[in-house]
Amino acid sequence: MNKVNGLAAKIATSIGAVILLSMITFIFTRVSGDPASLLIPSDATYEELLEMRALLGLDRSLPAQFLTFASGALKGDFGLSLRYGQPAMELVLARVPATLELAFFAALIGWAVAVPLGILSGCKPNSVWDAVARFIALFGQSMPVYWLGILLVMLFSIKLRLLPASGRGGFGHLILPGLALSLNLMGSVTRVLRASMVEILRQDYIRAARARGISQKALLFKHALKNGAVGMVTVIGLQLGSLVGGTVVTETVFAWPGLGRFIVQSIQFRDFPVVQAGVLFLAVVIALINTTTDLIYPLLDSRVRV
Amino acid sequence: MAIVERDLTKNLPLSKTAAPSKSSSQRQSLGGFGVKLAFAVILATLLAAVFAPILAVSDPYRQSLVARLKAPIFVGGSGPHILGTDALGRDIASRLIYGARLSLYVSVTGALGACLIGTTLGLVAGRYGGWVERILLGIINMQLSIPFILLAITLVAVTKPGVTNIVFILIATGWAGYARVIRAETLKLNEAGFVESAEAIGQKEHLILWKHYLPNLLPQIIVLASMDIAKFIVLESSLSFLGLGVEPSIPTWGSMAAEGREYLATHWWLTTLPGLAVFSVCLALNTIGDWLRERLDPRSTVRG
Repeated sequence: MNKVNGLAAKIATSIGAVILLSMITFIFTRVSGDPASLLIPSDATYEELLEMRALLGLDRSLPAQFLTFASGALKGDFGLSLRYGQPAMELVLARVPATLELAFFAALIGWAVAVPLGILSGCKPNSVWDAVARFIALFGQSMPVYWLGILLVMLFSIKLRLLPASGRGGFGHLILPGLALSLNLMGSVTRVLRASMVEILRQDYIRAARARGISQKALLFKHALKNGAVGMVTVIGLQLGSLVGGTVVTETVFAWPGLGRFIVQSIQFRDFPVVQAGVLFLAVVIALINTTTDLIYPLLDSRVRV
Repeated sequence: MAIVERDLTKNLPLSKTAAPSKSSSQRQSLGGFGVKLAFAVILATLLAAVFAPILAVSDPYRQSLVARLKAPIFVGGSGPHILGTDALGRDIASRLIYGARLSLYVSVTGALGACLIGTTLGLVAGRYGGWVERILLGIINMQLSIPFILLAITLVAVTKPGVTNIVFILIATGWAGYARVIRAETLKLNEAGFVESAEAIGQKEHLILWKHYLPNLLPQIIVLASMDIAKFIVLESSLSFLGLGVEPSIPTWGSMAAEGREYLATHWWLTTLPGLAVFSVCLALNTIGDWLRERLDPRSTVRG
């Protein structure tokens, strides 16, 4: 019973987050300017403006407009892009594969480095590995993604002429943006894994196991890591969110034709339907990831009641 | 195995109050130089920001077609522009100094605002519980599940670029982190002996909060704030880089880096210098944050 309630609360939170963000995007787009005036020619008469407003439903009250917006949004209908004249959601979905490709690649690099490093440094505080881990964590926190991207371009594209600086194509195109995007993730995952390893190795059951003379290897893999997995899943879930956020900057730097860059461009063109569709799409994806990690939790650790 | 033994000593309940264990004092002496350097960097940046009008050799806004894209002296340039000029002939050193002003102003105000709101709400939720806590927790969880930059972009998209808006966005995205940590710490303090004693002798509520809760929450607050300022500097510069930051006329590190991108192949310093400014200031702040965390909170070595 408790379990079901807890799970329901988590799912409600995720749904709430999406609704909150949708309300923010909706209210602010309506407050910040009149979309109708963007759509009509500059020499249009006032009557034509009113006509366009009525056509867009802007003459009704805000709550009524939100209901129309929300019911449309539930069906994936965010209206037409002001810039392209095509359905906003279609335009957004067309750019998702590129973003997914980049995010997955970055996640792969990030975890491949961070997971072993975090565990190693957590097991051996103050070792060389720990120093490396601390350095990466600090570096990842302090380095702006756009600057790292630019530095990589300067080194590998301009100076060494090894890799393409922008666009999407073969595997070569993926390397630089992937590296730039992975650094943040690498830093935070290393950091949290290290902390959770240190925490676990302090537990009584580890001391007890050690006292029983269990080998270091068995201790690590059978006892510590099994429990550390819970922390890892949380981190991975949380970081996927900021990874998705990071694609916005990375895609702009590398002219990667993904969703993040598309949203930024749409903001500059004041193409609100696309911004709404894009932001809400990302929010839903992140909410789904968060809920999934919450569901995986109890499978890994029987002590956790969701 | 030696490490393991050291960890065991830390595990004793006594070590909560005892002096920092051997390992962390070793680390502190090792990190001593780095921390001093970090303080020096922050102090220099602060001074530069405060005395910008005096320090900047030339007007950061003045354009000069004759003096376009002059090289900094370390790549063979000469003349009054120590760090060269940008594509409009504006002095880069002066723009960097004014950029520091904006960066620090925005991030410190943002961190202060987020800290005030987050601490107050976290304290109220942790101390009094009930429906306030439940509602607050719901909002915190909601907000924490939306990535920082996504929320910022949404807000920027629909408001106009500007300093006040950026500060507001930083506060709006940052308060939840404080509220969560402060609430958790407050819950621990609720059980503390000194709080119960204070209640037992009938001390007034606001005195309990002021004298018993706040001083004990302060270490957490300081650590969070130092990290948050760094996070905010990166966020502000990223938004400015994307053209979603403050008014384009104001020199910022992020917008300088963006403007220099067109000249990457020929004038690498245009983007490298502002990026270096962001990186070094944030590295310094995070180093100080890590150091403070170890100093102020001997219970934990590292926390995520």
